[in-house]
Amino acid sequence: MKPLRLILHWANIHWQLFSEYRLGAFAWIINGLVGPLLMMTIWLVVAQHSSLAYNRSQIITYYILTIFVSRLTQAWSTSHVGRSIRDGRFSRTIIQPYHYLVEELGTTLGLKAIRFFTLIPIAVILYCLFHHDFSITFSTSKLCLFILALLLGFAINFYYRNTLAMLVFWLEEYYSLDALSSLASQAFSGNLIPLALAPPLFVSVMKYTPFRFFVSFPIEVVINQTITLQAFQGFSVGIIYLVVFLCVHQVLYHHGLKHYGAYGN
Amino acid sequence: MPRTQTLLCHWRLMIKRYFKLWVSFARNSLSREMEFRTHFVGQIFTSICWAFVTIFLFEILFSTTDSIAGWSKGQVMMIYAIQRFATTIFSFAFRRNLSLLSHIINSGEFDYYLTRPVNTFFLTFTRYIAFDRISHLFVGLGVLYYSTHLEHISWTTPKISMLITVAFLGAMLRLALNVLIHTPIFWVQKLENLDRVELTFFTTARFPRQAFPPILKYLFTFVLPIFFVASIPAEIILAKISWSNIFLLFFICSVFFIFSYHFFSFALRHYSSASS
Repeated sequence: MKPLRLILHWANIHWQLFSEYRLGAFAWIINGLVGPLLMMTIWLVVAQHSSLAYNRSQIITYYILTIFVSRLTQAWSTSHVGRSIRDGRFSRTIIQPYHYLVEELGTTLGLKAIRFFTLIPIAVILYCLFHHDFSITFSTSKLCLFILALLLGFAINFYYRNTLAMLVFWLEEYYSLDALSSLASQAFSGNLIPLALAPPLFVSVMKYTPFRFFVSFPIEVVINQTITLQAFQGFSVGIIYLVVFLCVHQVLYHHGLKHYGAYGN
Repeated sequence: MPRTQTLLCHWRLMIKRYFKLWVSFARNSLSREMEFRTHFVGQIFTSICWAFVTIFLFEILFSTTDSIAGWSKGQVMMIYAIQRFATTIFSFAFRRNLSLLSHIINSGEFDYYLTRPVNTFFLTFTRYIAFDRISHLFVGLGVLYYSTHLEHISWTTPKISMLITVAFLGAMLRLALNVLIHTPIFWVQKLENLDRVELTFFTTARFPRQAFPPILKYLFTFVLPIFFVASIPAEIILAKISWSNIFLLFFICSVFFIFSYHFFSFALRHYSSASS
């Protein structure tokens, strides 16, 4: 229970911190909307003159779901933890009587809570614009699988970003790491190119990267008419990635602490 | 005549002074960047990778269709190349300063900017130069070569001059729009993710304006003139519209730049120091 109380405590701190600057939420709304809507517009223009695997309704449904799914599976640990290692604030974290991941998870959940509320005006705008074209049928089993896929996507993203952050112990550089990981995520997660519209070689690579679980996999679970074997295969691959990142993170953290020079403060 | 000569002499001295100041900023920025070589190389590598992702996206789009809103692959690549050139100038000369604006206001460092015997607008937006952004130029040249090869464009001196001019005007327009987006920091104090807003909006600049529905076309042409950064200049260079539209581009750029300068000056009057 104590780790849970600590996580909620840190989440509350960051909720209050970011609530002080509410206008920043406007920027988050814009950031969350413009990218997916831009790609949706382009794919709709392409679909007018060629036959794609997705029809108009499916393209619109895919990109609307992208807005919500990417927001719910997001994590920012590479820059948070990386920066704190680089400027020495990590020293204060490691002397606490709990693992640093407790504080980081609390911080991430606090940020997510703030950003979750920015989804409400986004949902209203999108409903007004696209409710005729949005087509999805939810069953109880599909909804449960969707929630599980979201939780899996978030867990993989969280541990992936924290694993990358551990490299800062040696590299002393977090900005490029964060930028490169965001780039890979953008390219392979399904944010730009839906799996169904990608060429076969790209699909075969994308299917086995962890980035797919950040956006594409939860959406595939929902969009597909029936729950297929592919969904269960996807979950298996996701769990394997989660276990791999968990183990690699622990090893890097253990060795990184020995190498840590406590810069800055 | 003597009054005109005095004015001209005064302007020449001022331009020389500010140019020398900018060169010293550049020298200082380069030495700072060379202190952190890993970061420098990482930034160059990242920007090249981002460019490859965008080109890859275009390749996938054009594997399913011959044209997007009447634009062929080579023509869309031209838009992207022009966007890269404008981004090179903007990111090299101004972007880092915009990212730091929130920090320097909140930390009180902006007080020193106000007390210097230099125009505050100039000092605020040219203090730091980002040499790692030169990579955008090489990306732009590569994409331009690809576009030239696909469209069989023959480059003449007027066309090259026009390309350089539209890239420069695109960069100044982007600076003006960014100043307008970032200036509310003087009232709000903490708006650190404005960079992402600007970047998000400018991703629309890499696509032809004809691909967008009428309301967005209007919005991004007249309200937030993002299409004047790359799409409309590409139409001028590819002779899709008359070359005289370059004067319209110059006019739009000037209007927004002057407006952003005055808006920034107005915001300075509302600045209250965070204590240094």
